[in-house]
Amino acid sequence: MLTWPAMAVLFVFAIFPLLIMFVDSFKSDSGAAGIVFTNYARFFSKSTYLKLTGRTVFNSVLVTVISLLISYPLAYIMAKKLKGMKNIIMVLIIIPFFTNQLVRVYSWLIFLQDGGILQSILNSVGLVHGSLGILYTKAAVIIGLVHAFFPYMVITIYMALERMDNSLIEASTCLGASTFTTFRKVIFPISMPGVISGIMIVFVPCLGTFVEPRILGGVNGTVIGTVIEDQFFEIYGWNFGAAIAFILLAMVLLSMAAISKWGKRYEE
Amino acid sequence: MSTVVLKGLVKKYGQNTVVKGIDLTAEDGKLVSILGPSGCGKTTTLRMIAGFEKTDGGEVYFDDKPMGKVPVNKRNIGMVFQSYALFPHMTVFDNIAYGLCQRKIKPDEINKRVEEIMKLVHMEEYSKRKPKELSGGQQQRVALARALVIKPDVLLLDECLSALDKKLRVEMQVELRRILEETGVTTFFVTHDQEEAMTLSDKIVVMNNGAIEQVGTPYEVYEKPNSRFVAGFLGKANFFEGKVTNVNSDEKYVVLENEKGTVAIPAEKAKIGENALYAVRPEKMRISKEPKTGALKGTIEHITYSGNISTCNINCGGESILCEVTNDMISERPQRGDKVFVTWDSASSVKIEV
Ligand SMILES: Nc1ncnc2c1ncn2[C@@H]1O[C@H](COP(=O)(O)OP(=O)(O)O)[C@@H](O)[C@H]1O
Ligand SMILES: [Mg+2]
Repeated sequence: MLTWPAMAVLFVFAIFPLLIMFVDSFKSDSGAAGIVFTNYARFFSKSTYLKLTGRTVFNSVLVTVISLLISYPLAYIMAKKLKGMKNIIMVLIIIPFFTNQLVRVYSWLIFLQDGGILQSILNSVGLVHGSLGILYTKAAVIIGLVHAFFPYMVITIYMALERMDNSLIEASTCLGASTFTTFRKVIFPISMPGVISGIMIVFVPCLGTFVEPRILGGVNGTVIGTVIEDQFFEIYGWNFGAAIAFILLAMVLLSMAAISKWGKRYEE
Repeated sequence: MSTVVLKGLVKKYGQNTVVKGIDLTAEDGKLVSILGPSGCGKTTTLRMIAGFEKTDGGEVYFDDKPMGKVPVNKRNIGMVFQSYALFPHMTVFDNIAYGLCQRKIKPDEINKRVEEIMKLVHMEEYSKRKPKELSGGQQQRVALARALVIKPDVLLLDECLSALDKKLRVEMQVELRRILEETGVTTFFVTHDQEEAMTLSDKIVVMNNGAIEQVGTPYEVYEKPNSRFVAGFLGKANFFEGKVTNVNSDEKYVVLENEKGTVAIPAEKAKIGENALYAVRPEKMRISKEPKTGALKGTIEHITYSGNISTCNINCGGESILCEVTNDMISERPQRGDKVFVTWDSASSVKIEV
């Protein structure tokens, strides 16, 4: 009963605009009538766009991997080693969640820019002389994105580890396994569903971001997300923009399907 | 397999001493139950034997070898956890093989030993299943097999049957007894269930409040409790306490005087003038409608019928007595309000030092 109003709302606010966009993506930007495939053809025929796609995927993979390397140990320490400090650290990690995206990104801008805080610190300890030149590079984009997304991963992994019965670890130890073996054979595989949700929750939105790449990456930050934004707000190539947006959506859906298929193997 | 000796084991959590100097020996191949109320330190003691908890005093020995500096994974211990702690992502076979894989044993040998132990616990048909596809009792068997297959020096079981329902628990007790007899492993069995401890153990250690109250065979701790706590914790007991005012060693009764009045009970070994405490098990008592010498006269205030036995609360001039009678006759069942005479052998009155 209640599903009908819900479906109606979903249709009006989500599906319907998407449908309009979808139709738009088959219209010509030059105003020619009828259904055309030129927008899609243009994307796939130009190596620039394919390179950008590659870069977008590469960025997302890199951000996901770095997030995993940061999140797993953090989540592990919080779930299994800490007692009292746990909540404070959790709050600290979650703060980026509640910070306005622009505030967060501009803080990084101020922090990373030449003559900024990071430079003064590195200069004063003598690690770097002169300007940093890190802002408006790919590295700056990765830093910004990792900061934006890793908390999600900390939480999914933390929940998986927290749920895990500690006596499993003790059982493994009792049976003669070293700490490392216990981690490799018991803890990590059991936390795998959390790791995979974390990967999903970081990798997928990363594909579509444009704020961090634009502000922190400048000309070096161009990714699919920024191209779409440009098409809509700078160039007014709405139809081409819509086509790229649907290509991105296809990538998103494909990677979600792939990741959840992978996750199925670890489901209990 | 080893003889396990605990010498003066102490454990503190902050200011709180939860294990207060435990001395205990489990001879090679014997099953020792640690029995006591919840929170008395049973799990903590077991975890010190395993090495999960550092001791704050005393030492654990396996065959005279001090274990203090030996880490858990080098102690060669089999442990069955209350939650079973089976690895959810591994099959029954892999779970059981896990400990052997840590010991650099050849694959053929591992296969052989896992199959043997699966036969022993009657789980050979389930080797490909995941733990979640097994019933509680089956998980229990796998957990046991996993602990035993490594041929541990000592097997530690922490309330491992308490998650099962009553019928299955009784079945598993029998199974456990059989399996442990076949493997002959020295075992510590932690439980708060006195019946379970009685049926399984060679030796029962009754713990209370971090210390040992009594050590003995099931028979000894039940029939000859050395404290009010042990008598009360292992089954039910009637206590008679007071100053001894008269002793009749021919007819074997003792007269006690306390704030409720005087009472003469069948008992021995008392000296006039001392304060004495006797415990009498309810099933040792007999009731009859005819007067008997040395019997306590009373009225049945309450009666609980439970099939094979009836439990009567009898008021004998201020002393409330709990008495279990077998329902051996369909007629002549005692009724509430009946005036009865309660008696028992003087030897059934266990004198407890106070
Ligand atoms: N990690 C711990 N920190 C503080 N107190 C503990 C800890 N573990 C157990 N205790 C306390 O030690 C006492 C004995 O616990 P335990 O050995 O688990 O009892 P049992 O197994 O007999 O029920 C309890 O009072 C419990 O609260
Ligand atoms: Mg316990």
